[in-house]
Formats: sequence, structure tokens, C-alpha cells
Amino acid sequence: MKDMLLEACRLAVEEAEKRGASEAEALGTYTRLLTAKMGLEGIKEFSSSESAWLGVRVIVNKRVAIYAVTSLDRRSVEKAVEVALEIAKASSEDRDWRGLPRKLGFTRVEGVYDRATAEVTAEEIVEKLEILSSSVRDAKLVEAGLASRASHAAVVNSYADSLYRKATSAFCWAEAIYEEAGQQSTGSEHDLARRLSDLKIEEVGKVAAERARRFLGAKPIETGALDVVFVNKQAAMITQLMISSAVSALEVQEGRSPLRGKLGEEVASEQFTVIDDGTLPRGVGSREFDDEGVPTRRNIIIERGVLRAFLYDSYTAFREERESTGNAHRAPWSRPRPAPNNLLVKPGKGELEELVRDVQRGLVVYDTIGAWLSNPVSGAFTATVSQGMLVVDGEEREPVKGVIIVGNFWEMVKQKLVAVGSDVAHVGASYSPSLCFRGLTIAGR
Amino acid sequence: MLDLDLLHWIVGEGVKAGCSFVEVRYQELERQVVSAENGVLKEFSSRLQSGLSIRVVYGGAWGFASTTFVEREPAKDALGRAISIARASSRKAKPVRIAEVAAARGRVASEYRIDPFDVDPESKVKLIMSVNREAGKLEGVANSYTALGALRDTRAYVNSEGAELLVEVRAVGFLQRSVAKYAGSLESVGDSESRVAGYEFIESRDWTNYAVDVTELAREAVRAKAAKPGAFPVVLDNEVIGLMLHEAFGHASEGDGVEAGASILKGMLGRRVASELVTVIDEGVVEGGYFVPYDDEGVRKEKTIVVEEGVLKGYLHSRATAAVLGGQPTGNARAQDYSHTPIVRQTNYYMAPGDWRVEELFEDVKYGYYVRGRGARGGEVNPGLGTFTFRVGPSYVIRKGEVGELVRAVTISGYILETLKEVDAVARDLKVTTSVFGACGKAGQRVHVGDGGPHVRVKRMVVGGGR
Repeated sequence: MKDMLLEACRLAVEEAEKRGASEAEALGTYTRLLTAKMGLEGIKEFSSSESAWLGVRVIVNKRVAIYAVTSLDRRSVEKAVEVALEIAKASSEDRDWRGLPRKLGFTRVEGVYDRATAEVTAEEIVEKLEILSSSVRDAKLVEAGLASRASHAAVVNSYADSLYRKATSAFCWAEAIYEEAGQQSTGSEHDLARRLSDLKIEEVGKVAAERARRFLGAKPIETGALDVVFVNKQAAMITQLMISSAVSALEVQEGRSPLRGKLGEEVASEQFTVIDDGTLPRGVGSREFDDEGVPTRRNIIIERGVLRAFLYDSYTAFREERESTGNAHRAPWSRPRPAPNNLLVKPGKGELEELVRDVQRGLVVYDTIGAWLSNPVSGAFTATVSQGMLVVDGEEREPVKGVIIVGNFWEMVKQKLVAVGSDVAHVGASYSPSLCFRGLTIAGR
Repeated sequence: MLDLDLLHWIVGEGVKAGCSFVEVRYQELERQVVSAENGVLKEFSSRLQSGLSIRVVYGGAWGFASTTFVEREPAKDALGRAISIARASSRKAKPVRIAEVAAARGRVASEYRIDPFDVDPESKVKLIMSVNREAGKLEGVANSYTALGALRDTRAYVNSEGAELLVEVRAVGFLQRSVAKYAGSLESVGDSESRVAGYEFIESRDWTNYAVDVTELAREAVRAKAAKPGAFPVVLDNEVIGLMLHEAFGHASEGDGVEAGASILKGMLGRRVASELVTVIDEGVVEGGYFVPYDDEGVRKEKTIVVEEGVLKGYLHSRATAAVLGGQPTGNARAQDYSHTPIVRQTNYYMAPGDWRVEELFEDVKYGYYVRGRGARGGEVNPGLGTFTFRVGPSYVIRKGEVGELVRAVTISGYILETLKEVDAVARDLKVTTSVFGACGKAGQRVHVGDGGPHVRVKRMVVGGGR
């Protein structure tokens, strides 16, 4: 695979330069994916796919264009270059264009590729799915799913011609339903890891079933201000949603980040430290180099509440006459954008129970819907609680749903964050412990 | 490159290997988006994707595999992967049952005069830039975003029952999103127009006018008051009835959800689910809609009557759900692309027109809202419960039978089976629309759909003020 991808990429760059590009870059990818879903009556869907992409970026006198194809044969590559050049010539000049990155290379990253995950058989997937579905106990299985992926990428540009990386990942999920006395309630859980063998398969089934049972009969509570504990995965989802784009240099430069102009300032409580780490061992967002071939690294974004840095790809970095931080992300058909590799909220002290014990009257949030309606540009946060527990005197008492939490995320982390737990979990490549906030607005009955 | 011989060869290899059913789908999908923001060319994104997939029934179980390498050897490898999946599943899956259909053969292409991919990039860039600048010039515009989209989707289908189909669709669209600022507050209105057609559709319209209209609506809306929250009589425009039907009712009428017990319409066949003025149709080829003459199981997509005069008549089916639930396949098995298995999806879902004139709908309304789709942002539904919430566009107050002042984007919510029973007037002005920019998502797959209907009056609907 390595040779095929590198060859196609080299051919694209060579052809582009030969036909008049001042600079050229090619990103080649190859992905193999196995996905299976099981319901109460057995396997529902099971598919295997392999796909290749070649994304060509050409520059003609500061005019940048991208074209992507799935065919890697010589004719298709030449055609792709031809179309890209045609688009470049029709485009307007980008005055901020300084050039493609020249300092390409690798960072050593541990545990991102696992042969057993890459070569898993259909039988093994079925076996694991059976374990997963049978771990859904005392509730009815709606769906259990398992996926394993192997992905390869190569980057070649006018200044470097041999960057190649490979990685694996595995994902599983379960959804359960519980019915009692005419009422019903659903629960779900998922896990993502670099290795199939690292997935907590039984735990996922168990938690989905427990959630379904536990939140039966949940109802709204009165409108008011309450302490809110976001359980680790919810905290990870929210920080990803509100921080990723706010710390992207592109959003900052274009005036779409609430953190613009705040470097060196206190933007969060002293307990809040956020790091981007593309080198985290076995991290699901870890990689040796980014989508432009720039080596990844560890970037401290917020240090004890103080905003230290933004994340850059080469375009946004060169605009400020600095170097990329190794955070370029792109699909083969679109231009790169800076985004975190692994976003880590540094853990503090205490498991979830300890955080809850210190709450007199509050809400523990296990699941929400509609958080995507939040606005990372202004920091306005909103989410409807679908699974919450009312806390009275440090104890989780009764299930809650259908109330809306509203607030400004940056005000929350600066003025209302009272505790950061030690129980780190991740959603996608966002890692966070449980977080406790004082006095958030809850719109309820 | 499309090579039907290759597809037939794979089918033959599958049958030789012992598969009781083999289907091969090949696809070439070309997409282009040209966009500008605040006078700067933002993106000219273009891609050409091709690949094939093989679905088999082997040992009574399904197997599925796909590849982007369209040649004999990788195709044979994919066939092997599909069979090994079926073999691994057969022990743990219900034996496959698929409804019989006549094997279809044919070649169909949507109409077009100018292939949008033959138009030179320069004139597209020129058009987008000039429209974007004009819309952005208006006073109080904080952001102007303009985009042009085009797609060509060629799908070939061959199976072991003798089917052989080739369907080609070309579509184009134009999008404008404007953000207006007034007294410290912002209002964003986005709208797009798409057609299954060639570039002649783009050339036939004055897009500067269109973009200015959308921008004017944002400028008006930012100055408008919020609606008074409560339950009111409402008149829904063509877009809103389409959005509501598609999301809150259409998904519930999909056979796979019914089979899984995740639909409010389970067990409702032959029962009243709406007022007798309501007839709901899913149709593959309809003016203004997307083009689905055949589905991705090679089944002809005819006109499916889902609700007739208020009574639920049928569900949307794939060959598998038809066999399990006891209906006829309706041509609704659709896949995002070659790398996905077909699942039950809507095509063009709409309410049939009635006999009221549009003006008449407003006449008896003392106080209510004229709920508009332009600027709508979508929403959330639960097909198992029938609940829906939509953020629709800036709308108008109706007072004593007259359309009055504009209010900011509102939220409508309700319970679909109640809402459809409250329909008390249906106009004659059927309009169905589709989009090249957006697509409907389900189970991780996105497909283009069309939806719409006539103007419709609902006796009571919960309207939220919105912000």
C-alpha cells in the first residue's frame, strides 16, 4: 500500500510541476473498514469496504486549487492534475498565500497501528458482537455494533517525497431499551480505541442496559439555577464542541473566535488546563505527521486558566510568520484547516462520586441532545438533558430529562467551574474528566 | 470508466461460488462547490469518486463489500470478502427473505442541455463573485456567503436475476446565506434553489436578484419582533409542509423502522392518521424533485400512496422489508453511494394538492401565523414518538384574515399524528423542491431527496418565539 500511495502522490506532484504549477502537494489515502450491526434477531448489517483517494493541491502564482479522485492509475492522476490546474488558473489570487510547508517529517508515536485490528476476520467480529450483545442484561437490545478500520496516508509535496503513515482504530456501541409499567426508556454507550483488544466491549453493553433502566420515568424539574456535573464523556463532547474551533488559528484570524486577542489572558479557572497532543500513546487522534506532512507535537493551549496558544496549519501560520503546529486536517477534496489532534483536559482530583458528594442541590448530566445548536463563535452553550440525575445533599436521587441547560461556555469555565475530576474518558479525540459547575441556568417546567 | 461486462463477470463469479443472489452496483459521482464569502473566493472544491460494490446472499445470509479499484482482481477480492461476511453471519442471522420483482432493464438519464462539468471554471467564479459582492453591499450586512453546486451521479446496477440498469442524474443549485446586523443583534437567513437539470438552469435566472431578496429578508428579520409563543392557527407554506412531512411522518413510514418497532405508524395500516383532506405520496420522478426512476435494488420507483384521504395505506419498502411486513417493494431502497448497503429511504415525499385557493386559507384566521420555510434550519424528530421541533424561517403574523408584519425565525413543535388531524384546508399550489447542497441523513448515510406540498392550514400548532 505504501508504494502505491507514494507513487501516485509523486506522479501527481511531478506532473503538476511539469505543467506549470509553482508548487504542488498530494495527499493519498487508503482505508479498509469492517462494520457490523446486530439486533435482537441477529446480524442486521455487515459490510467491508476499501477506498482510496488522491487529493491534489496545486498553486499557480498564489492561485490555489484542489481536486480529488478515487482512481490512482496514471491516466486518472494526470487528469486530476489537469483539472486542478484549470481551476487554479480561473481562481483569484490569494494574497495571503506564502507557500507549502517545507519542514516536513515524522514524530515517533506509539500504539497507533495494531496488526490484529487491521487483519481482523469476519468471524472474529461476529464473536465480539455476540459478547457485546449478551452483555446487555436486564434490558432489551436495540442495536449493538462494531467497526474496525485500517487507514494509510502518504503526503508528497514539492519539497518532500516520502512521508507515509498507517493507523488502526476500532469502535463499538450498544443501545438498549427498558420497559416497565407502560413506560420506556433507552440507554446507549460507545467506545473507541486504536486496538480492537482495547475496546471495553462488555462494559459498553452493561452501561447501555444500566442507563436504560436507570432513567425510566425521568421527568423535567423546575426552572432554576443548579450545580451541574457533566459526566466525563459529556464534558469531552462539550469541550470538543466549544474549544476546537475557538482555538483554531483560522477562526481566530477570520474573527470567528471568542478567544481572539486574548493570548496571555485568563480565560478559564486555574483548575482548567487544556492541551493538544498529537503524540499521545494510543491516542485516537495521534499521528506521526498532519495532513500537510508537518510533524505533530504537544501544544499547551490553556495553562492553569491562561490562554497560551492557538493551533495552526501552514497557511494560518505563514500568515503570522510562524511555523505550523502540526494541526492541519483535511479531506482529500478540501483545503486544510487547523484542528486539535487529541484535545486533552488535564485531570484534577476525585472520581465522579466524589464530585457529586460535594453538591448540595444539582444535576448530574449523563446524556444530552441538541448540543450542536450551541454557537462556538459567541460561546453560547445550550443542550437538552436527555439523561440526568437530580442530586440532593450529595446523593443522586431521581432521573431527570427534558430540561435545557444554557450558558456561555467561557463564562462557565472561568467563573463557574468548581471541580475537575480525575476520571478521564474520551469521545472521538477529545479527552476529559468529569467537570462540575456552580449555578448554571436550567430551563425546566 | 463504466464497464458493464466487468459487472456481469462479477455476478457470474458470485453465482459460480455458490451465491443464491448477487447484485453489483457501480457508481461515478462527481461533485463541485464554488463558494465566496464577503467578496473573497472561498473554495472551489471538486471531486470525482468511483467504485463498485457487491451484495450477495450466501448460505441464507447477506454479505456486502465495496472497493474503489474498478478492475477484475480487486473486484474478485471484494466478492471474496462479501462471501466471507455472509459465511460468518449465517450462524447468527435470520435467513434472508426478499420479495420477488420483475428484473428491470433500461437506461435513463435526467434531462439537461449544458453539462455543468463542461462549463469553464472561470465563468462560475465570475458569477459567484459578482453575486456575492452585490448582496454584501447592502447596508447592515455582516456576512454574505454565496455558493454554486453541481453534481453528476451515474449508477449502474446488475444482478443475478437478469436486471441491468443505468441511471444518470445531473443537478445544479445556488445558495445564498446572509447575516444582517442591527442594534447589536444578528439574524442569519440562508436559502437555496436546486434543480435536476444542467447549467442552463443557472443561466436562466437572475441570481443577483435572488441573493438580494434573501439578504433583504435577513435585514427585515433582524429588525422584526419575536413571535408571541402559544398555540395558534397557522398556514404552512410549501417548504414547511414538505419539511414537516418528510421528517416527522416520512421517516416513520419507512419499512425498516416499522419492522424494528421504532415507528409511531407501526400497526396503523388502514387506520386514520390524518384529516381526510390529507393525501401523502412518495414518487420517484416529479417536477422540482430529485430524480429516482429506480432504486439501488434495481426496483422501479412508482408513485406510492402512503396516506389516502387521511387513512394510512402503505409503508415504503425495500425488497426485504416488503417480504417481512407483507407488502410490495416500492422502490425505496437507496444507498448514499456504492460503499453503502441500500436501506429504506424516501424519494420525493409530498402532500397532494387540494382544491382551496391559497388566499382562501387566510380568510378565516383571526390571529395566527403564516409559517415560512425560507431560512429554515431544520430540527429534531423522534419517529418512534411522533414528536417534532423545527426552526423555520422568518414568518408573518395573520390578523383578521390578512397577512401582517414579519416576525423573527420561529420554532414550531408538536405531535405529528395530532397535527395532521388538525389540517382543515389544503390549497391547490403543489410545489416540490430538492437540494444539491443538503441531503437527508439516516444511519450514517446521506441521500438527496425532494419534498413539498401545497399551502396547508392547521387549526392549532405550538409556535415558539425563537431567538
